[in-house]
Amino acid sequence: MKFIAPILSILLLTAGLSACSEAPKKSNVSEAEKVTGRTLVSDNCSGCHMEAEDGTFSRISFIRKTPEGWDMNIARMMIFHGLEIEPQDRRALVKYLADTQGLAPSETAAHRDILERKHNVIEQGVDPDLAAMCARCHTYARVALQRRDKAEWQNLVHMHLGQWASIEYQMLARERDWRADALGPVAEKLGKLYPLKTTAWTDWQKAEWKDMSGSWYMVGHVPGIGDMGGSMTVKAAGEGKYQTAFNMTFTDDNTGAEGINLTGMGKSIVHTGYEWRGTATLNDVKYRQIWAASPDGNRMTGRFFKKDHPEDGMTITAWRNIPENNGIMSIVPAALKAGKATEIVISGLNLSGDISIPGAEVTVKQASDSRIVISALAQDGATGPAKITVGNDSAPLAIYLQVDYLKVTPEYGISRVGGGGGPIPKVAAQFEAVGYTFGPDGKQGTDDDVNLGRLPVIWQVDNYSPAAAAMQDVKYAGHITENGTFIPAVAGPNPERKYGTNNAGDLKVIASYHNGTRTLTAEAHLIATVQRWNNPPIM
Amino acid sequence: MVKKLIILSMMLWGMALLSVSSAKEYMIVGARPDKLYVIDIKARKVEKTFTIPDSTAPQNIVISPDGKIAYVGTNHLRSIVGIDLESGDVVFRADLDYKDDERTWNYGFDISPDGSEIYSYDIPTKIYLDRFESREPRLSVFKTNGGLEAKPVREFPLPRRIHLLMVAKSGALYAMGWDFYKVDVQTGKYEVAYPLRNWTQKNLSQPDALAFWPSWDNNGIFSTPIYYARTDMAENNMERYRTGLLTLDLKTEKFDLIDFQGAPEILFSSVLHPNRKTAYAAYNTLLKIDLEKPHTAKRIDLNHTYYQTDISADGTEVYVGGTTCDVAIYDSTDLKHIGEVKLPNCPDMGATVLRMIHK
Repeated sequence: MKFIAPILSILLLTAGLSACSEAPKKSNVSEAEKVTGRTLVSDNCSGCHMEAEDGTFSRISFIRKTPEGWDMNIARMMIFHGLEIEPQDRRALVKYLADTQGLAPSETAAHRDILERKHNVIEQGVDPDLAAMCARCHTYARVALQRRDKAEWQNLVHMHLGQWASIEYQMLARERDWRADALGPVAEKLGKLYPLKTTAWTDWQKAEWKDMSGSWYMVGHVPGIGDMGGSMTVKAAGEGKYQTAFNMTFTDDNTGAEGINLTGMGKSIVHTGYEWRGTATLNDVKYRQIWAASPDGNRMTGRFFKKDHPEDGMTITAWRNIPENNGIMSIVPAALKAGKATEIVISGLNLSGDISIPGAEVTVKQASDSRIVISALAQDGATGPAKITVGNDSAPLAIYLQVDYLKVTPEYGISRVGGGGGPIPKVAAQFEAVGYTFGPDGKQGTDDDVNLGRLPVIWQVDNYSPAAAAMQDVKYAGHITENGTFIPAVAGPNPERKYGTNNAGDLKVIASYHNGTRTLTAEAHLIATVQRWNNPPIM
Repeated sequence: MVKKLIILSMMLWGMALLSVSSAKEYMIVGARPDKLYVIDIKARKVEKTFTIPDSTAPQNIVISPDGKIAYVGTNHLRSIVGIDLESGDVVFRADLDYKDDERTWNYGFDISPDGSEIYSYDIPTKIYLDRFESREPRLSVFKTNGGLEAKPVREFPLPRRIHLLMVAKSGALYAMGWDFYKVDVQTGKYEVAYPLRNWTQKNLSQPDALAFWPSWDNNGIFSTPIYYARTDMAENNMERYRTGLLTLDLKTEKFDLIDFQGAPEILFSSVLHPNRKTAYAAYNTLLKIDLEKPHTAKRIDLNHTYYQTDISADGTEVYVGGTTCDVAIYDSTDLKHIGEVKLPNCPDMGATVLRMIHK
């Protein structure tokens, strides 16, 4: 035995040397954080979720979710199973679970709209069978933002059957053997589509998760209001937390005129190395951020929305202020009418060099390395795609003679009644009218049509169908503002209406654009419907 | 033969009406969270209000054959409570979670013709510490003298997705689900009595019907609106989409399907006139349906949505109730609004059913 020990120590030393030959990688989740996290799971969950000899906890260790997904899980344990947990422990548990059993950036990419609480999303490309099985009650994203193996998907089916008495009786369920389908082919399919172990997740755990502190520049669009450019300063506060400060300036995307300033402070946390979640108070209004960082940690995208009205917000692109991030982030407006001097705001990072638009005269009115304001005049009669150049970078710009047609976005909108003494606030619907030219082929609706951006229009609503007219929906359902915001009517049965029904309506939203003697119109469909009573973070 | 049967059944109904003509007619309804009402319907007056102990949401109501006890399904499908309609005393209670490791929902129950047994369609889930396991549904048979902690005396497996039970005069149990099943309550053996999901009606799609409403008290016949499509008609032809009435005569145990209109509206429930020549169906509208030349003879808009349709024993008044806190009353001939009963303090009737009794 005596000679074995020296050999072993040599072997161990060699192993140690070989490990030292590469730079030691710091783990994304420290040993101390893992110990604290496991203790939280043990203290709060192990009463029901037994710890096995290998250190796994039943159910919990066999699932991966987004931060919102884990938080909803804890909420369900509190509501249905009597879990009592302090708010700070709940937050710490979400952080630990999302960091150690989260989803890789590529695994959430297709479903960010739902995670970001974007309004009006119609999920595309969902398997019709899974849509009928799962997405008739909640979004498909709620399913696709989880990872489990087949047996765990089956456990989820059993949970649904044991928790919701009417699940097999509802429309789109009752004509099939729901239980057999859900436990059989559907669980099988989900286990294959969204399994627990994936290379994407293994690789992301190995990748270096970046510190997000520093100075950032943001651009964003607020439907119906205009475009924003501004800064976010991020200071590390430890344990993946940050303090933030914001300073944003809005630009009217119709006129290029400077609008309001939005400033304030906030706090953020990063889960899973890239899931940026923030709260901020801007001009005394509470906001939320749900953003995702790029794998290199130098760019972020997501939504900044009002806490009490998630439908009211802006889509943001943010770049970290580092030399590698340089160039144009946005141009407002991105269309220039020939023969008319137009003010254009160029936002970006580390902007430098000459500014030009081939075929147009450019006068620089203001310039910093993140915001340049120019006045541009394209020759009368010029038309077609052009570009705006700042130093070495350029971005597309359309020069046009006239607006050929309009489109209203979204084509299919939704609003919800609210208020009226009830606990659920109104949910407004925001529309925009976007101008287009026919493009070189002179035809509407072809690939060469040129988007001219938002146009100032007159808004109206009307009944969508004869049935809506018979119910006088336009009279009761709400009204539209001059900015294209449809404000729904108050909630509750309306004794004035036929059937005493609530103020729901099936409407068309009409935009009219007057340009000299020409008037262009376009329509969208609006369902002004009833409240959602259950508004979880992932709908 | 058919004519003779109709005449016979009309004679029998005439006799039945004679026997109830001296009795007063009452409607029994529930409301959230824990109320049971006895309404003197002709007087348009709530005569009695009972409080159901430990109750959240009354839904199904089954009356004992002697008219003395109302068995109320409550607690979100998890309890059956028998209330004495004179005293309000609780005389029976079955809390369906009687097995420690199960959560059980009831999706329909009815009572034997002699009043001694309750047949309940139960859907159990086994509850483990960290997971659920959905189990096969079953027929649970309770004795009505089982007391306040009644447990089933017999249990038999039944198909999933059944939503309404009804007992025929013969004592045979019928269960409506994917198909209409006839169940032997002694052996648990069941057979498809009338195929729905598996029907082979020529040129008709799989039908859709989700009936919870017992409207056979004053006519002896179950009926429900049922929807299907004519597969031999073009998809853009709106007449392709059809509404019928599916009926089961609880005396003769004969089914019938009567196609009476396209599908211009949602109808939740229907009731046949005791003369079986007309029917009524409701949701947002109230329809008078001519069954002899099947068509909608008259349609009116209701003041609001009502779930259940019912009728007086003499066939003169049509009742609609459920959803809010009133029962609206219409003349069965011309659908003129002739009265209403508002429940005190306007409670939420939700999905409670209406039952008609005579005493």
